Amino acid sequence: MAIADIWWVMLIGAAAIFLLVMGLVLAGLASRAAPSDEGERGTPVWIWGLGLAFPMVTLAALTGYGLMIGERLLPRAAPDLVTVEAEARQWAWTFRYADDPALRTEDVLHIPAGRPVDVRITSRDVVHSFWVPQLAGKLDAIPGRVNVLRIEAATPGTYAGQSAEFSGTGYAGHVFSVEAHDPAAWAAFLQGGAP
Amino acid sequence: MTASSEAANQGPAERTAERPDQRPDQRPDQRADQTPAQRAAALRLHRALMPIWSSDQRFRGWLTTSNNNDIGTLFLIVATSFFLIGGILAMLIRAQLATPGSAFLAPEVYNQVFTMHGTVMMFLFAIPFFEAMAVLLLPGMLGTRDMAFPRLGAYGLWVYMFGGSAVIIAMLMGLAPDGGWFMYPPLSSAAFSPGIGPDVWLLGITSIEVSAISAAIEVIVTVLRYRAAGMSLARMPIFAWFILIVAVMILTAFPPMILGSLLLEVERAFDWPFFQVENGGDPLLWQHLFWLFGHPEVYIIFLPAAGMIATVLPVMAQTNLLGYGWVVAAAVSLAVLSFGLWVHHMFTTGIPHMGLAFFSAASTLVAVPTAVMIFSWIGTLWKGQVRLELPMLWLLGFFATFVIGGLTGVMLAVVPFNWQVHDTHFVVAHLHYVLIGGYVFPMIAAVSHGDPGE
Ligand SMILES: [Cu+2]
Repeated sequence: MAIADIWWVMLIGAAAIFLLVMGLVLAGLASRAAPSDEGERGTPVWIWGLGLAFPMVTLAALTGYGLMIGERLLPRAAPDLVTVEAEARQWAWTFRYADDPALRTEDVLHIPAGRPVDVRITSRDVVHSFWVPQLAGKLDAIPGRVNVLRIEAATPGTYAGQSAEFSGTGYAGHVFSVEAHDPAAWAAFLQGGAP
Repeated sequence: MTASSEAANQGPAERTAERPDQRPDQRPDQRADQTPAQRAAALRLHRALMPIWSSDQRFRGWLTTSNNNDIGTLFLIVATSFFLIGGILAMLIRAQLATPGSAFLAPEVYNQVFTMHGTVMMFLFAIPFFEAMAVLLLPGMLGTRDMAFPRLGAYGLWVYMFGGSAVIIAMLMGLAPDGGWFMYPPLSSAAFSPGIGPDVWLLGITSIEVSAISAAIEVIVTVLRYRAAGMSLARMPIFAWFILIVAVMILTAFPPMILGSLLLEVERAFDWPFFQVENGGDPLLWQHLFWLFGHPEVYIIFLPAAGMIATVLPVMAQTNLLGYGWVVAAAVSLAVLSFGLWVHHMFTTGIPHMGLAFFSAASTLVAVPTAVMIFSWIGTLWKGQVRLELPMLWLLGFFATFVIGGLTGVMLAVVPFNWQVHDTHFVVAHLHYVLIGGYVFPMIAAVSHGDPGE
């Protein structure tokens, strides 16, 4: 997944920078024999080079890369889009389905696999957060607001979900799961024959 | 520390008036052409004035003193005690989290403990501790007898003690706030937190902010008006620059937080609508106000420690600081930038994409002035001969830990990555790397540098 790519790029880059900086610090300690220099001769290298140019170039590259990935993750109009509603409360989730307004599930969200799904997230009481790490990043459930998160499960299966905003004493157990169905099972679920 | 011993040479409990009719930088330096008779007269005057300006020598003196050394010492002792309390709370948290589903602390207790750990460390330790350092060291560094407004300093100390102890006493009674140190409504609103916990929090935190604002006013006036003759801004000890910048930041960042606290208290007490949707409020208003304070707060905490590094590190390297002007400029730009990126704490609240891109870019940008400082310090090590004494060892700890904190911070500024790790232990780890590496280690280095036994 794209976000995992970003993580590996950043981890390797950060590790390299960390080693570089630590190397420079240790080399600074090693130069003990040299006579002390009271001047400012090092300014071009240390301030202009390493202090200004180095982070600016690195950060410009990283920010550009991040924005590009972010752009790719933006929800696009899709013909086979499925819309569901997720309403959080202390400490449970209620899911409703645009395909059948009478349908309602608690703590288990059913979606079709291989199709984009818009989750309309809101809260009935305090701030919560909808997070299914394998499917997408998190998005807050805020009372009085509806936030839309696009998720898509590539393969059928069960995906663990977690509320990710502190919400009081029941917070630790505030979990849910996402059930991604193949087309036949999804049709069966919408018929009321939920597995 | 050279400055503190200088201040101590003036006598620990002596307070002498700065002549208010003369600007310090206009005062002619008479020392060189003083005759012996003049010197004897000055000494007589000094001895006559001592009892008038001294603090009460009895125990009562600790309560009535307004001398900067006494205030600073008291501040330091109280802040350190809160640091220990916060540390004990951290150990309770770790004990609970050591095993999954542990029965060590019930959820009600654990929520109080983790809320209080953050509150104590942020508000009761970090801010007052550097205020203590500033009150203690600034007059000596600037070559003046005391801070500009000694009584305001005493006021700040006692307001802080009141607010801090109120929160701690509430915790000992089991009535501590339990909504997280960020106190997001509606969880902290009357409907979901009916107890007095959030009220105690709001009272305590507002007291500490009042205390910080009074310290900030004192610092600004002291630095701008009470420097020794001939000490231009560009020749100040660099710690004075950092603490001046921080003081201006406090004056800008704390009012939104005080406003937010007032609104939340009015909502809790009188049911006025600010954050509750049912009455027409919006919970995001709190998050904006809180982080408009909360992000600059990070730099308000880091910059005094950076000032200490810039002071102690050249001594350890037996040379002068490389690029004094650059470091000051970096600190100023860090201060300005820090007010433009509070939304990175709200990347998962459904902010429009344009906003996300802006705040993401702004958040990565703060790494530039930070890099200028870091590399100026490494350059200083390179051009000097480093003595590996205790303060220097702490500074090495700072380099390793803080650089990791900074790099993880840049990662967090990348929005798609943030969506995954937001509100996870990645953030917890990041902020502890920054605060322990960037604040606690340099401050220990500073204290051990100033320790006369060192
Ligand atoms: Cu921040």
